[in-house]
Amino acid sequence: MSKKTNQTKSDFVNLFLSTTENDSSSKEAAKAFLASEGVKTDKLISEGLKRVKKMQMLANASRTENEMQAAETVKAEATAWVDNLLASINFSLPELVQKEELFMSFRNVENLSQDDIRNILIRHFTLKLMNKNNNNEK
Amino acid sequence: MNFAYTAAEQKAKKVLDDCGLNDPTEEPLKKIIFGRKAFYEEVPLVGKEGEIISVDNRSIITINSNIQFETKKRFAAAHELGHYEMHRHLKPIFCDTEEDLMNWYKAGPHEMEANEFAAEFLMPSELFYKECERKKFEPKVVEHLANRFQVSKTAAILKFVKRGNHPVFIMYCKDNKMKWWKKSDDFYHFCPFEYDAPPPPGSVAFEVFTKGKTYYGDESKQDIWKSDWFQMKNDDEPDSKFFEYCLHAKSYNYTISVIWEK
Repeated sequence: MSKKTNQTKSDFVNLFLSTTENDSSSKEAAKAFLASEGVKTDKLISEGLKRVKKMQMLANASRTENEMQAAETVKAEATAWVDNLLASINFSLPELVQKEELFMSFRNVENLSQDDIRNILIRHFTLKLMNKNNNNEK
Repeated sequence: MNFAYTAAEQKAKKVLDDCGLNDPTEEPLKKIIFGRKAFYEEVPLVGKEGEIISVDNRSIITINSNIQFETKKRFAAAHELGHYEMHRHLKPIFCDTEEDLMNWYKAGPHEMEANEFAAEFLMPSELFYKECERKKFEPKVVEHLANRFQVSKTAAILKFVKRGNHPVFIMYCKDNKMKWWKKSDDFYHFCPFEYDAPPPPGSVAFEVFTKGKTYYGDESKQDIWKSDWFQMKNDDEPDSKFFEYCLHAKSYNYTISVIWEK
């Protein structure tokens, strides 16, 4: 007499799962089991999340630092542009401040030294050019 | 401890949490700033400790590379990070001088918030309190806190007033003139403060400015009388002993006196 069976792979999986401990098949039961073994699951989860957040922060840090280093050419462009602007006969700082909305907290840009104004404008236009390049890429 | 946090302090806590940091000394501050997607550079600045310039979502934080002490540089950087996190959409430029970092109450709400942010970011209240717990207040505690959190003694003292474990009073004087004071909530003596007046003659601060005397090491805690700094309740109140620890920042000619009851 043939003893051939018609069981499939899923029958086997089901059979396997039916024999596993109840503890690992439900999240709550698993948590209770781990707690009974002295494992602090909440702490493990929060520490794990912290680690993920830290890794994300460090990845962002590398990306931003690289982006800043890559912006040297943009900075050179902004510097040349600002130097031309400051040398122009028609240049008016108050007008530029209004146009670019370069408002400072508690101080007026106009009261800063020439060097300060130049450096602030270079930084401002470097960022502006970076944004512009970024938008063009999109 | 259940502390009440200001909005700026809550922001600092959130930023630390978003960075996955329990302790800000785990990573260099420069890296954290880059991690928040702000650019960071150290270059010589004249008359400024730090600056932040923002255009849309991008910002450059610049710290004066001539700042002599790393701890001070760290505070300036955390202060600019505070502007970045809280104010970059309000004003595109913040230039911060030594005065802005020291005169918490005069420099306006944004500067005060950035200072609160920096203090909480660099010295999280709960960690700070744990570090002073079960320690009797004395200058060595300030030194320990400053080393532990990589901040200046001035920053550690200012934090101690708010989150320390002992009631203290502090007076900030510059060029022999009283500028502002702060006290712990549970410090109950009254100081007859007069803006720009010299510190009282019996105080250590007065000695520093008028005789050039600075106390170091074991001598940094000096005995004074209550009446040197504070008003007596009435004529019958007997004078009592207090301590004064006066920190002198020679390069800026300011003192911070920490005064507490014996």
